[in-house]
Amino acid sequence: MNKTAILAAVCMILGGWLLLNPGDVAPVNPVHPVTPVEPIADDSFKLGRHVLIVYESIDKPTYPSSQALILDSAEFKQFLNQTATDGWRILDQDANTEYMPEVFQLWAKRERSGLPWIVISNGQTGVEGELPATIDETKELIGKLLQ
Amino acid sequence: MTTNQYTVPRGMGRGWIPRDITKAPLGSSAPVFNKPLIPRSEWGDRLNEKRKAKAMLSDVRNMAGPNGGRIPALNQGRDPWCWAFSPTTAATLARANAGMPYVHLSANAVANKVAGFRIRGGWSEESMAHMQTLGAPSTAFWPEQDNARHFDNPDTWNNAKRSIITEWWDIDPRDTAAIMTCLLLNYPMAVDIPAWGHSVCLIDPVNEQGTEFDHLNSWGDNWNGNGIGRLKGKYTKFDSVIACTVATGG
Repeated sequence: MNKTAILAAVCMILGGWLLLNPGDVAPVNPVHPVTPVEPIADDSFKLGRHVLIVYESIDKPTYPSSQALILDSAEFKQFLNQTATDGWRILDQDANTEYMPEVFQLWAKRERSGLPWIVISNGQTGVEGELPATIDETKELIGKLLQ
Repeated sequence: MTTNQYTVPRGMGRGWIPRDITKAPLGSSAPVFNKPLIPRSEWGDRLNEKRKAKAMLSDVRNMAGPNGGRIPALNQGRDPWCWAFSPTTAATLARANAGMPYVHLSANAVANKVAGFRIRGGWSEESMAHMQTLGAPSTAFWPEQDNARHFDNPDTWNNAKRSIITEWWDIDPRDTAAIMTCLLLNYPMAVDIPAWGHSVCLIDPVNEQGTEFDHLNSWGDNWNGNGIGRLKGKYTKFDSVIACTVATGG
């Protein structure tokens, strides 16, 4: 058996092993997964029960439809009215927050590792992370702090 | 629905005149919409999902008004200010979709400022360009259906800064894909309709073909039941289409 044939055989065996043992390979379709959120210490979270969702309007057509619904659903807005009782906003990242309550001005300036993004506070603590993929997941996330 | 909703009710004005494309060509005061389009193959599914999740602009209108009720339709009365009322309606809905508190915005302030207190017709792009720089004040500062000059004062325009449109798109009126994309994303649109001589605010697509649309008119809540009418046929041939995407607010 020549060297080329040996190398080809090794590659085939290795490739097969990788296919059967994916190990820590990233999940195939992590569409805006719910980021594991841990409460963060921040004075702005003591300002009340608030929710802010930040997105980019130019990219909105490319968001999965289930996620775009979070931004637009009147039922979800009603849910926010009932839970984020001190106020909520769903804002483009370039929206001018000058005339908004202080908490949204502060949160709009926070560093984000992606968009769309959600920040939630209950008057004592808060969480932030990537916006979940569906209305139900987002309600669940908010419910952990605000219900 | 009235028997012919395109009939102009007694005592109501319209006021659209063709956009002067020598002075205001497409894209002259805002970018022409050239963003990713929602593929036509998805329109039907998206529309169904929006209806199911109550994510149409009409749904948002029904819960974002005073005390959690319906946002009232603006009422231009007999003045020919439709071209200011349609963008002001769009701004109101954009604010609602973002969760900003309801404010009854004064389209009379916008119209008079743009027209220099001359009662005249116009097109919606004129008004939106104004709202991008000066905004629209609350009717607490400039009442609806009032054209008195004394409302034109620094307090009024200071208040108007709370309702500036910070991002909007000029859309090619023949570009159905862009119109459907914007509506499916809840971007309210002021549209000028030559067949009607009128300008209104598009709110919802009616079908997945993009051939019929619901609009919020500016003839008050009593018109057609709740201020909303349906456009089809020649009434969907638009002259100007302005999508309101980002509003400043309180």
